[in-house]
Amino acid sequence: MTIRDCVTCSQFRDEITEYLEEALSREEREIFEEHRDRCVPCQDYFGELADCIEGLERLRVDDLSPEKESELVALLNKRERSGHERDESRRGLIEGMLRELMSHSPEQRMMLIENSDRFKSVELCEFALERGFELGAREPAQALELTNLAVLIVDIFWVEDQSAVFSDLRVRAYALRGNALRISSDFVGAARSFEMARELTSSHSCGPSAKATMLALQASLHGEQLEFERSLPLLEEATTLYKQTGETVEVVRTSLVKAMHLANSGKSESAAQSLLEILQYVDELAVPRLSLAVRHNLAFSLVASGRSDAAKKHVPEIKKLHMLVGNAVDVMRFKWLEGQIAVDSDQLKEAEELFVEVKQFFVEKGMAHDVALVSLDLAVVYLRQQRVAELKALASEMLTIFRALRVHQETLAALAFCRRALDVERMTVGLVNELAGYLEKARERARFGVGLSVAE
Amino acid sequence: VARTNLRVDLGGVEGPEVIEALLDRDEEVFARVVRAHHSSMVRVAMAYVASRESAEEVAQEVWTVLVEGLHQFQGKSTLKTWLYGILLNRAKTKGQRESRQIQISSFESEETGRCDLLESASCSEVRSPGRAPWVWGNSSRAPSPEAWTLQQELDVCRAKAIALLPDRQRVVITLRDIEGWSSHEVCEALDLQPTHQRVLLHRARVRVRELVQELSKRSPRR
Repeated sequence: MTIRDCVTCSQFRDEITEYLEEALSREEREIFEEHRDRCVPCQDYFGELADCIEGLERLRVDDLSPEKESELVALLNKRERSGHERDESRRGLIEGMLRELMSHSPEQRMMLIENSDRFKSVELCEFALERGFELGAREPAQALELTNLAVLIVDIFWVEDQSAVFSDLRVRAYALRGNALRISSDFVGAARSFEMARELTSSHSCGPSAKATMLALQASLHGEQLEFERSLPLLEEATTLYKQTGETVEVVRTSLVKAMHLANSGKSESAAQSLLEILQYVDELAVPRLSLAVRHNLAFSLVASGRSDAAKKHVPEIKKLHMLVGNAVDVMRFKWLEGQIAVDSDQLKEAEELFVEVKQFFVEKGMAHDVALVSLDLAVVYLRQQRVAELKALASEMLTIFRALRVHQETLAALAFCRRALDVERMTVGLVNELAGYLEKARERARFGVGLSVAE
Repeated sequence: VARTNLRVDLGGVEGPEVIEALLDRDEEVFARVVRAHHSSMVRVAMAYVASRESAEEVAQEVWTVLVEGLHQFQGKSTLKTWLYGILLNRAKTKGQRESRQIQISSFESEETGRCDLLESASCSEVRSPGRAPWVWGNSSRAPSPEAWTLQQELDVCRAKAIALLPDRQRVVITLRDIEGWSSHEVCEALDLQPTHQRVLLHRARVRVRELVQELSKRSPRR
């Protein structure tokens, strides 16, 4: 008995596909073929299976009807129009409606909206809000008018339908109007509008995204009034909500504002911590401008909390991003930051060069507050080296600038004291820092020192 | 058995010039690509979804993706591989969503391929919870009852037999024996090892043969 006789019928049948796929070895193939030639039932089975396989091919029927074909081909052009172009024309229509409304007086506008269904449009309301937010600081009056209009429209909807869709829109409308009022320096009106939005979120179901928008904008109002103990919890809550909705860009923006408010309330360390936490989000987003703002402000907060060494690690990346997206002012702020790091590592010559360059830049730009602040940094460099003559000259220069800035009485007094101290050559770094503290407080608007603002 | 090469003739529906023409929204070329693949895409989608309508929907979605997202096509694969990659993904997802279908494969193990649902699946009526046979095509081409031939009846049995297969066997046999894909193409599209692909294909073929015999015996017409 040879090995070939060992092939059983069931083995043969199992191997048919392998045989057809040419996956058998030469020897296996020979055994297979030999069995087929010898065993009649297996021969039949083989034939049946092969017929079956061939029969399946018959199922491949081209049954695309001409109608279906033209329907599918039409996708080519329908999609083209329905996508971009249709949105564009719709937007154009809404824009036209808005222009028409805005050409009337506020009273007429109200009449038109109340009496014409054409203007009762969610799209129009959203468009007005979007436009209003964009215009923001550039055209405060126009931004306010637009958000007022949006509030007017959504209030009309609200009378008829208090469902979730409209409560979200209404919360956003009131919050964005609050923001527009803040920018126009009507803090009382702004607070009232935010209060209205807040009431809505507690009495009606409101989506997390709309609520987060409201919280973040209200926090800006508190921040502007230097009420950081009120702004910080709101920003915290907004960040949590944005994380839930997955709006990463907003998570980053809100955290940047939070860090700014922390730094302005003297908590540089917490500011650094909060910025460190969002680094991962920033890297995911890969938006260079946001990345720059976060990293720069992080390094700044680290320097301010006495951790220059930690700040240094971020410098190469920041430098790269400045080259990519930084403007002239940003680059100067970066040089300023480098100067501060240099002071901390006792590279006073390098620091001096940097501060002088930065100061000159801000003098030319007429940015007096920044001139004053960088002058104080320069003062520290001179002090460390006991360069009294330069210090005296700088102090006189600063006094002029500070007067022009109409800074606080106490600051002026402190500066006057410094000058006297200089006269008796007893000025200390502590005194300069105290002066810087006064100056910071005297800032009309809470701003982030040498930090970068979030706005693009 | 001399297996003829069943591959769809891709003349004029592959290559950079076709992509170029599609990006330019050339209707004629698009129609050619649609004609070359649509019926096949519907049949392949049928391997996953419960009805012909669903399969048509999936195929149509793929065309929409092509029209809107062709610029994302990197040219790293053939257009065919790209299209069917999207199709298989979408069909699988849709199939999973269509919970209304009773998974026939849950009644039988892939190992034995035994199926107790045969009772309810004779050729003359579609009582099975599974998939309707697709050979009908569009209604205008469905043959009148008088014109039925034995061959056509066999086709219906084959289609029904395939519908009764476990999922993975059904996809493999559809792509290989109906659509005429090479084993390499199937392994790539379904991420299968060649050996595994052969095992699935063999089981499917054996099972289809059995089922076809069973079903045609039961058919009241014989």
